[in-house]
Amino acid sequence: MDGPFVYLDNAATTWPKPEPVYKAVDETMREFGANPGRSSHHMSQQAERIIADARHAVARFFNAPSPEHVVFTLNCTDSLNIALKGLIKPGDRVVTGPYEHNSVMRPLRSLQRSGVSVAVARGTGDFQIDLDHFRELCHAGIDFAVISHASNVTGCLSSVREIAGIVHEQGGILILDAAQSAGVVEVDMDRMGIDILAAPGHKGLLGPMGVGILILGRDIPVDPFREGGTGIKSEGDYQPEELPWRLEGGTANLPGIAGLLAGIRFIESVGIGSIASHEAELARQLVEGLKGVDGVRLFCDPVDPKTGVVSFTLDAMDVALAGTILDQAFKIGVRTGLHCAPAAHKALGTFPSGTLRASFGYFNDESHVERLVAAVRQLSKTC
Amino acid sequence: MIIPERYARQALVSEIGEAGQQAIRQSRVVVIGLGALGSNIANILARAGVGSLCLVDRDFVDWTNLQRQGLYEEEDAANSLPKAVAAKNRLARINSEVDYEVMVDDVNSGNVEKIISGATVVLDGLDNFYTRALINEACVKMRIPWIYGGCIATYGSTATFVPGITPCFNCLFPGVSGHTSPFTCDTVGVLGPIAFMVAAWEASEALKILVGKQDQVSRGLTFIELWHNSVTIAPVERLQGCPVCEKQEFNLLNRSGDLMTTSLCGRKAVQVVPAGSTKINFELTLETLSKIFQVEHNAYLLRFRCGEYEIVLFRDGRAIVFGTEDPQVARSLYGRYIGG
Repeated sequence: MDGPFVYLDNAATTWPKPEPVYKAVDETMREFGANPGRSSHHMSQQAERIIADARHAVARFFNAPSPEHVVFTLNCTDSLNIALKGLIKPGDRVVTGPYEHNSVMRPLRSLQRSGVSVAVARGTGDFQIDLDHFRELCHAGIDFAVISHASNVTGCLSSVREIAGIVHEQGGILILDAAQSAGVVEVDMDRMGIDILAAPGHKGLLGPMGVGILILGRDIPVDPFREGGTGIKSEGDYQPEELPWRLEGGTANLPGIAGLLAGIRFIESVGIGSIASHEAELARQLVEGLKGVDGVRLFCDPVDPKTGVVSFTLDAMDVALAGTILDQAFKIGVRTGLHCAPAAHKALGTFPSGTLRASFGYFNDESHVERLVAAVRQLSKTC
Repeated sequence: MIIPERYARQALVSEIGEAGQQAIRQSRVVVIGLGALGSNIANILARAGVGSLCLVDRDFVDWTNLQRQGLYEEEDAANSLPKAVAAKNRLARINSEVDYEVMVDDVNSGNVEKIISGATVVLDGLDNFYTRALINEACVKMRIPWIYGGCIATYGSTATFVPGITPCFNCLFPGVSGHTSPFTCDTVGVLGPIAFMVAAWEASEALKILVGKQDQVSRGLTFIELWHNSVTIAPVERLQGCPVCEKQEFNLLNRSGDLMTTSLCGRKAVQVVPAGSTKINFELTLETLSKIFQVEHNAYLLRFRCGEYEIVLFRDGRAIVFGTEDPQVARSLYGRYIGG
């Protein structure tokens, strides 16, 4: 198969990045590579300025309570762990969804061992959370709900506003895992009723790996497990109470945060609506194309996908084999297996072999869809 | 010092002598790979009275080993004992004066220097060229002599490398670390006696080094064919500009390894990915494997069952081993059937 490698694994991490992101990382390391906010010299101040600008941009992008409520972390898993383990105490009641990633389920299962109750809502036939069941679980008692906004397996979106309404009605706090939605579709904390938001920097937000975001709503006291230098109130014996320093001990990932800032600015210049419709349109074209191939089973919205994620299996071939063949014979990179979300695959009936997952990013185009459909058509004829 | 009775006949040989026997007693010998060659080498050198003997192998004894791997017994195969453990058990009964070290592990760029550190000589009982090339780099870097050996079907070859005196393994087989061959003992078989023959040759080269007579080692590549009875020794020249022994560039030691493994989540399966520079001959592998297994194939891959495992090999050398979650098992099967 001729042509360059086609990268269709943007749900794992987006690639390539916009040019300004590469430049920002490089420039920050070369020009402003001092420890942000730790010293009074001008380079340290410039470094701190970059972080302050990024905090500001993130707060505006997600409509957070204030920039100070934005905490920079290592990745989305780190954000979720900080929130879940710093907030949920033995005896608390947690309700979660059927399609959660291990970054939600493993911390919850570990909290369950220390006396937290965890209830999992059922899914519906069209890959949505069964809201009647969810409501029933919340009515039985809830302190926290942890829900993914977009499934990393099916690409389907949860109805966050409706879920937030149910949770708040019962006095609970909604923690949203925006791993697959941040930078892909609009996420507005205030309008959608999100109390805590966790997001990665390296996926839809187009930044480099190694930086994540945790945004807390007002007056949610998350206890830090990482304590240390903050550059402020150094005289105190204890970690400062103020956000973001309360949760940001240690030197920040300055180049990563600079890259994230450049990524967010790029998204703002293109418009999140254009990005969302571009990726959803590619997913729709792929779904249409795959419907015409014998033995393909789709695990996504079959008519109107909202994100660029499409999962499918082939009757003719094990997904692990198909994924390797797509890579070496057709030069197409998709992800195969469980995508770190065994709970979702159990709900879909695709456990343990999983699915093939194609995920589009802003830099994919129709020709990539055509390449994949042609390759899958050929594979479906191979036994 | 009085030479113990058990070594009297060996010390009587003028090339060894009492001083030589004492030197043997002071030595640390490392045998890497305890299959046909390594087990027989270890047997000879333990009997010869080396000071310490380090036994390294990642594999387990199976019934196909007993025909030629001189240290193992039926019970070892029945219990699937690690070869290093079974070898040590047997050797401790043969010569309890030797200090044995047992290591059930892969030899890789992360541990090879530690394993051979302090060795008087290193002996090769391996089944693949990548690890031999790695050992060559480590031995050149640490100035430790080592002896290469290999055997298959009715023939075998061996060569001795003494840093500073002889050319190195890379002079003999430049860049061989990226080559694999589907011809392994598991695919084309091996005659029992050739293993003993090559092992004996390697062990006698080791004895020269142990008694301090490095200048008397064989200077060529020895090729032995038992069925038609030929022994030939081809001279080995120093490779001009050899990256290893001349330029002291240790590329394999500074990299993570040749075979990368990833277990597939939720499945009993391990993916094996060879280094990008490794090339396999897919057609030849298919032809070779088809003689011993029922092999299915299509334009992209071949697949066959081997006992409890199913192995799928893709054209570019990647493989998925179904039926295990253990990367060691997957790597070992890859070495045995796809390329050594």
